[in-house]
Amino acid sequence: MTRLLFTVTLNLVIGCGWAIAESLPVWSKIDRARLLSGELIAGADILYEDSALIPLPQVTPEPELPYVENIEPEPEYDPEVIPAKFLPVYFDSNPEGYLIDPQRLLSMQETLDREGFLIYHANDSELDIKMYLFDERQKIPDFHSIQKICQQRYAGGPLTAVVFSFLGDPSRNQIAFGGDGAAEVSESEVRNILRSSMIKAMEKSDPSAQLEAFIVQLSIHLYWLERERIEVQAIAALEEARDEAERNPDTLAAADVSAADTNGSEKGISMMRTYAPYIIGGSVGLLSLCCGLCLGWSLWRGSRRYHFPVFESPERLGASYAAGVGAVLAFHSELSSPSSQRHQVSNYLTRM
Amino acid sequence: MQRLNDVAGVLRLKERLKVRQWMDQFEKNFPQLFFSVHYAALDEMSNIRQYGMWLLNHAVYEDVDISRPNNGGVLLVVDVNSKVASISYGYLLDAFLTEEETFNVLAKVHPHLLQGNHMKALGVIISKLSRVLRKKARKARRNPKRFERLHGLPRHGVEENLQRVSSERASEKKEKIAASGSANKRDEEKVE
Repeated sequence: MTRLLFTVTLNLVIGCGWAIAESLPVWSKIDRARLLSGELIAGADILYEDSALIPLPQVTPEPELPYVENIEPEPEYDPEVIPAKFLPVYFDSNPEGYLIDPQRLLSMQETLDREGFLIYHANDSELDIKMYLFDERQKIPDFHSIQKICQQRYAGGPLTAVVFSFLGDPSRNQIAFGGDGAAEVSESEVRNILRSSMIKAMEKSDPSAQLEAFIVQLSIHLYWLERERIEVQAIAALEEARDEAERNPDTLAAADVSAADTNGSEKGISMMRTYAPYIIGGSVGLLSLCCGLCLGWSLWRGSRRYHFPVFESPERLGASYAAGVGAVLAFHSELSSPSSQRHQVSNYLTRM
Repeated sequence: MQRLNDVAGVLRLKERLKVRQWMDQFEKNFPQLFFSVHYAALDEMSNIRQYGMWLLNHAVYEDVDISRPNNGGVLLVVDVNSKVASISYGYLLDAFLTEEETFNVLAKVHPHLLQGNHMKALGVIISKLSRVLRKKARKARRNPKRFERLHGLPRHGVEENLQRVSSERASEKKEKIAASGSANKRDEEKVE
């Protein structure tokens, strides 16, 4: 028991001594007043620089950076304005591809798909499509227009359909034709093509699908437009050949041969329509020739002279000129038909 | 007389002009022949066969060239009273026309004659007769000896017709003689 009491007392003594040894320093009143007035800085003693005691590391000075002007922040995206950096691509350059989308409005795969279809159309048709792609609400600058682009970029080239397509709003799409023969495409035809293509595009909800439907319908219309142009050109060529043939008949056969070469089985019906006036004309000419031949033959027959050989014959019944007594026919009654009078008997006409 | 002698007055003025054109065309095609028509109103005792033959032998056509004698003539006689038509022709056509052929020509116009359409009937007669004569002329040019032989042979139609005419003439003479004889007898009886 005594031993336990001793141990406890010893631990208390050691603990109190350790607690006294570990307690915080206490400010004196003078130091505290100096600290509050700012005359004394706490810890200033340990911040004292003594190179002899602690060698300081050598710090190399940082090199001076070149002066960089302040970069202006990009203006906020305006959905109605085409960014200025894309305007030259759209309006001041001759695009090589058929899909002009410098803003990358379509994804890469969509671009490949649309571009592929436009290339397929271009290979199959002489009437190409140039598709300028804009965002839904973007507005064409006032100093640019689709007609101006047609005149500046496509005049003198092959006939091209220029399309301003607003992705997501096909009702704003525009179509114009540039190149040779653009003047022959009437406004009504352009309106019909645009309206039909817009209707097809608006049946879709997805902007990319709208664009695809618009292009497909436009391609179909352009195919028929091209067919009509071919027919018109064929008619014009034939008329020219006919005029040429009228001036120089020797070239008629050559024109016919060239025309026959150009005719294909696919264009048989259109060629029939083309040649119908000539077929009719030829038929009328043939008929006229036949009528002329018949008329000539009848005139020749009418003017032909027929001579009879003269045979000496003795006079009969004292008649100097004529003893040829021909037939006699009575027509006093419908009942006495000619056949009943064929076998004439002597004196049957003598009325008593 | 004229080639177109419309004593019965069956044709109008315009029709007569047209008929003359047809006759001119006939003469143009057959330089040796001419066609004449005589519309008559004969009395009941006349024989149209005799009348036609007599007319063609005695008529002097004013509008036929002298180079075309009556032996090259074809005469159509139409009696509008008895409604009988007959065709007579000159010696030149003896070898080339037969009674059957002339009858066929007349038979073609029987409906027109029944209707009294003499203009149409005359046109058809000239047309059909021209066709027959053209055919005969072509055959005669190819083989004239054949027609020469036919001319020498007694021909069925001609001979029969001539016999008819001669018999009619003989009977008429006999009747006349008989009539005159009976009249003389009556006179003698009266005188006695």
